Amino acid sequence: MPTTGWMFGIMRNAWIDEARSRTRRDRVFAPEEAGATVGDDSSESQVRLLAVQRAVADLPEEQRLAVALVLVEGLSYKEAADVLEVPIGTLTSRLARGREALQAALSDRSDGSGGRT
Amino acid sequence: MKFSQEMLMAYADGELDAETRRAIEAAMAADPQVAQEIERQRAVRAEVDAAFAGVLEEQVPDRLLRAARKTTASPQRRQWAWPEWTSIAASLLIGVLAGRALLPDTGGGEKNGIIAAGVDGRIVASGQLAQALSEQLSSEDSGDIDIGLTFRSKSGEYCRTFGARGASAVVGFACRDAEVWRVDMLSTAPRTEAGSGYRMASTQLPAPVVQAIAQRMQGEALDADEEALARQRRWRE
Repeated sequence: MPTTGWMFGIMRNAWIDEARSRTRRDRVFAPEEAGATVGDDSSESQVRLLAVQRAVADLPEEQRLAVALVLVEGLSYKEAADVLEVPIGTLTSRLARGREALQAALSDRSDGSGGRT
Repeated sequence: MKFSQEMLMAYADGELDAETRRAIEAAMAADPQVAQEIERQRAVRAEVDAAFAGVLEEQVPDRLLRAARKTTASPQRRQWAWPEWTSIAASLLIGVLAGRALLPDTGGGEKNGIIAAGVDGRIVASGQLAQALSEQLSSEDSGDIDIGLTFRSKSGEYCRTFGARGASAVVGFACRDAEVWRVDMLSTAPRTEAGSGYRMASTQLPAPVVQAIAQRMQGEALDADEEALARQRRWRE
């Protein structure tokens, strides 16, 4: 049991590092990356994509990690809760709040004139 | 019946059991607002997913994914970069080398460990695991070890994925190295919710393990006949 706990600690740190780095500000706004994917994509959808990345990066850490692990990395609630070492109810509520905040930020952007990017 | 927003979110994420799902589906049919809320939850997920797609993304062959997971229930996960996982695997192995044996059954400590430090610093399967890797076909159901895929590595070794049931389930894969099974990847098994037990958990490989296998695998996984033949040849050539 202690071995597994210790081992799991390594795994969980790796997940958290990964989730952090994927949604980090400097990472998500890398211009080359954005430029490379623009291609023939409409600039409007590109703007939207960056807005979503930015909204995620702007979330409080707790919510951002929940969002990153579940929505970006595709972990189940249980797996994400294990990684963050919180009860599943806590994970669920962080995820719900994070999603709510994202939705608010994004509908704000699309309703407003031109967004704030 | 009224469902909380969190419940509807969990529905949108495929996290609910069948009974609750049916109840929510009934509510969706009766109340357009419920359906709308679920759609909203899905839309946010899809947007976030799309916004972060592309980085580190590498397609794992469908057949491998299907075979490895034996389920199509969970959405496809992002893939991890291999170098990160080799270093994690290495850390794990160093830890095991520090003299601990991994016990899938934590009961009285009477059972033999399934992982041991071999000579020359290799991590090898022992006990039940070693036996299952050598003898058990993936179609066979026995004991606490499940064998999943058998495949050839790029260096020609036979490798097999395994899952160990028990108080703390683990999954991973091991490759035949001379006369032992060298454990190259080990991970805690994804837990399933109460009720379904560990049978499922030990046969579902987490995405990082699947990714590691995809990196190592040469050609396709062995089919049942090839697997039986390989066993007959004692995993040599």
